[in-house]
Parts: sequence; C-alpha cells; structure tokens
Amino acid sequence: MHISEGFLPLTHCAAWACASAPFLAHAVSKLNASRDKRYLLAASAGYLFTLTALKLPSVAGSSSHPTGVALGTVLAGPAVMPALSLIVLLFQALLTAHGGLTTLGANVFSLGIAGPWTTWLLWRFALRCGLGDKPAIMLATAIGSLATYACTSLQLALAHPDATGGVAAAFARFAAVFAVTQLPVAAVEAVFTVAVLRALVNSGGVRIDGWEAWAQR
Amino acid sequence: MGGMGTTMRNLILLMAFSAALGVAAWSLASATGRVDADERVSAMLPPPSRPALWDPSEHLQALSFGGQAAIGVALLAFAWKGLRRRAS
Repeated sequence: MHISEGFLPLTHCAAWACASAPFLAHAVSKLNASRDKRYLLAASAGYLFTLTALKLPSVAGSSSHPTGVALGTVLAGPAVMPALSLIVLLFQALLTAHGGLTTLGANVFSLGIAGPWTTWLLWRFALRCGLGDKPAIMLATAIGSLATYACTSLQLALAHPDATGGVAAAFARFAAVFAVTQLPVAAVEAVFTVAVLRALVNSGGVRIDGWEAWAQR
Repeated sequence: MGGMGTTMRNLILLMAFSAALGVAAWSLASATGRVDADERVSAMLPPPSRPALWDPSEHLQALSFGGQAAIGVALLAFAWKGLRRRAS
C-alpha cells in the first residue's frame, strides 16, 4: 500500500495531505488525552511496527505485508491510528525506501484512516448483527486490510486513469493485482490478530467492549 | 497480574519469533523471485515524475527492516513492563 515518491502528482499529494490533516490533528489530541492508555498504545504501535516489517510470500509470484492496524483499532480506537501510522510510514519512507515523503499524506490516509475506520465500523456492525466476537474481529481485520489496499488503488487510479475506461478501469486493474496478493495475507493477519487479542482479553489485563462474553466462553 | 505478565512476555516472544520469521519469509520471497505487490503495481504506472527526495542505500534498507521489527518488540516490552507495574 506504499505509494512511492513520484507516482502521484504534487497536487494529489497536497490534496491527500489536506484530507489526512484533520484526522492527524484529532489523533494527536486523542493521544494527549489518552495518557492512561499509553501502554495499550505502545502495544498497538509495537504490533504495527512489527507486522508492517514482515514481507510475506504470497500467491501469483508476489509478496506483501500485513497492515497491522486492527489491534490498535480495537484496543485504542480508530481515531488514534493516523498518528501511529504516520510514525511508521515516516520511518519506512526515510529508512526503508517504502513510500515517500511527498506521498506521506496519501499513505497515511490509506493505512491510518481507511483501514482502521473500515475495521472498526465493520467490527461494530458485525457485533450488532449478532456475529460472534471471534468471527466479527476476523472479518473486520481481513476486510480492513483489503480496504487499505483498495484505498491505495483508488489513489493511484485518480492519478493515472485508464485512457479508455477512466478511473474505474484503472482502479479495477490496480485492485486486481493487490487483491490476489493480499487475500491470503489478510486471512493470516485476521487469525493472528484474533489470537493476540484473545490472549490479552483472557489474561484479564485488557478489557474490550463486547469481548467479555467471548472471554468467558 | 501473573497472568497478564506471562501473556505480555509470551506476546513479546511471539513478536520476536515473528520478526525472525519475517526475515526468513522475506528471504524466501526474494529467493523464489516473488515481486513486492507495491513494486508490481508501480511497474504498471508511468515512470516517476520526480526523483526520490531521499533514497537510502540497500544496506541501510536491510538494516532498517530489522530495526523496525526491533522497535516493535521494544515497544511491546515497554507495554508489558508498564501494564505489569500498573496492575501491581
């Protein structure tokens, strides 16, 4: 989901940075107001740092990495994720040549906003629909991971529309490449995230809305 | 608190194991000729319109990937210590 330097016009870079800015400002204020949750935030950031460093072999001759945003989204809420994502993306842009500095706003939008909010909304919706805690979080994690890559596909399609099919055709082309690679990775991430959350909840040290019933089963 | 401490210690060990697994997976991905999905999509685009503002060397990139995983494990260790202290 990392858009590298030079693949977005500067006007698009500025637009995505502007779109991400209010979410980032809100995230920073939430972080300042969540000092009592700093250890959960550290665990969320640690999970994000570790998982985005894992490049996993996938199908169709491709490799990709998990997004790692679901744990923080569930533990601390989606509002803080733009700030955590910014730290990780800045580290990667400066030191691992993944992403870029001018594309930072676009990458924060996909990893820190689109992914976490999709995960959170889907998780809450699934719980409300009566889906069990375990399948709800697995579904939300997997779809949230795919949503991150769908957002990247849209960002690239807006910048590079297909000559004949326009933005929709370009989106389909990019999303098809990401989807094939990311589906197995998202499935693995969903199982792994649920295992980590389950361990935290069952230990009694972490309480998550709607998870008590599952922990007692 | 023993349960929480044990859980966090296990999580840190799991993350360290995952990092090691990641290095192995990355090596496997490279050895089997797998192309990063981002690079695959980038290859479908026109060439970059401008050079990278900052282009770290391959050596620094490899070190940084390990460093990133290490930072993740360190953050989890910090969380473990803090949660254990707070609960006690």
